[in-house]
Amino acid sequence: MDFSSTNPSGSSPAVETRATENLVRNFDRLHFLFVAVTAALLLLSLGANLFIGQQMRLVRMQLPAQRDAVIRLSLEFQKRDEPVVRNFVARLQDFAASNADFDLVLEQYRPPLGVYFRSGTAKPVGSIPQAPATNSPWPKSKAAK
Amino acid sequence: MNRDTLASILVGLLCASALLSVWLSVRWFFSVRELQQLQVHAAQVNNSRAAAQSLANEALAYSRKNPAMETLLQEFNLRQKEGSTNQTPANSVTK
Repeated sequence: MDFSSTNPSGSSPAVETRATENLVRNFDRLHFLFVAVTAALLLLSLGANLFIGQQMRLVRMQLPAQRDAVIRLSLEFQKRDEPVVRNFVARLQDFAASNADFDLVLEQYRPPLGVYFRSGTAKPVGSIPQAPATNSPWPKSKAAK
Repeated sequence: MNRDTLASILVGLLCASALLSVWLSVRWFFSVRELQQLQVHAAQVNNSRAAAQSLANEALAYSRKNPAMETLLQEFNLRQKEGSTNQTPANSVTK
């Protein structure tokens, strides 16, 4: 018996060729799919970049004007209104010390205007505790620029 | 063009695009955050103004039943002094 012509895998050359062709075809198909998916992802990514870039441009266009406006508003409030409000609240606190009925009215404004209230004033029992001074809505460092 | 080269170029472009996305997103995030902080700050200033204005109005209303408040209000131009004209009440504490 001649074993030299037989294939070690036990299949004929024709079958082997067909299997190799199949393999090549599958590889080509997979390669095409890979390229197609990568191209689609690239397009998607470019679209997302375009959208994010546009949004960022809009926000950054608003930002300088908004920053200037807020700093101006804050400075204006600090220079013009804040001393008047502080003085007004202090005088009202003095007034409320001798007029207990007005103290009830004044205490309602302690949460929003807590930073302008003097801490040393005697308060009636059950009054709202004073907001800490750190709650100031006007950061001095930013507004003082 | 070799098909392997095309795939490599596409993968490279995809990576570059992903990096660009990250960079744009980070910049967008910080810009939006700053804008929100500015808006919150402006709202706080306006709230304080409104509260001060409301307190002035309360003081004005209170002065109707307690005339002792009148002098204080006149001091802050919230109430017309005797004989003076052309004053708008309740707008002098915060304009």
